[in-house]
Amino acid sequence: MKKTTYSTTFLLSTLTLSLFISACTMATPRFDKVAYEKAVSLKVDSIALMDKSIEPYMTHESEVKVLSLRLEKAYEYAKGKPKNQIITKQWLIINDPEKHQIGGFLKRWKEKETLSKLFVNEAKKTIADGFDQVIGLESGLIKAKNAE
Amino acid sequence: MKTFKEFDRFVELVEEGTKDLATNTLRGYKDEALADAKVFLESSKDDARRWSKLLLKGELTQEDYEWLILSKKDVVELQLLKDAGLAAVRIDRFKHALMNLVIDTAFDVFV
Repeated sequence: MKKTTYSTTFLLSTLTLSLFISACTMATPRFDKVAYEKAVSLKVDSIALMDKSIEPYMTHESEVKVLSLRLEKAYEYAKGKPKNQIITKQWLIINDPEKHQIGGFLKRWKEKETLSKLFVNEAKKTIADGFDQVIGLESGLIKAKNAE
Repeated sequence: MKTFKEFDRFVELVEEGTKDLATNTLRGYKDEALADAKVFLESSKDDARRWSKLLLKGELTQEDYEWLILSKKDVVELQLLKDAGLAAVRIDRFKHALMNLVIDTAFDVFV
């Protein structure tokens, strides 16, 4: 009888501990197909628009505005997801006009009116690398989901 | 006394299981992260060398050069965030598996 009481108490303690651990396991976001596709699509479209920056900014202003809006939406989407602070910080860097990713590139294009082909080609590589860090984290969540 | 032995057995089984879990879930992460960083730093050095040459030849302006270097710095920041996110994912998987281990072992030993 005593053993049964002891075992029951211990089992309850174990379950309580497990529930606590379970609550702590939700510290990272879950895989999100939409977020992954948004990141890939924005990378491709950003690089494609960068190619046009050897031409006058005004000629492509409407395309820049469309892309900027989509980038802003991606940031807001990430920000709105619970426990998604890391990816949200990544989007902040990518979009920030004062930084040196696509947000900063578009600002520079507007300021300079046109950019040199050589600079654009080099910038395309670093900006693609930047997007790859978001895509890499999103795809890491896919691998984690598959491993569960 | 028997119940204390069961408790000891429970602790022993959870300890053994935790070691296996840690090995299987977290093993290799540090090596992967370091290898990833090494590849990135090597490619960054190559880029910086190439940009310096282009600057000296006058094919890149000083402003272009600085922008590209700062862009690389932003990529490093983005990569560190990615690494932090992936490490958190691994730790989550470990915690999840640990929770299952504790419950299964408790039922095996006490029920």
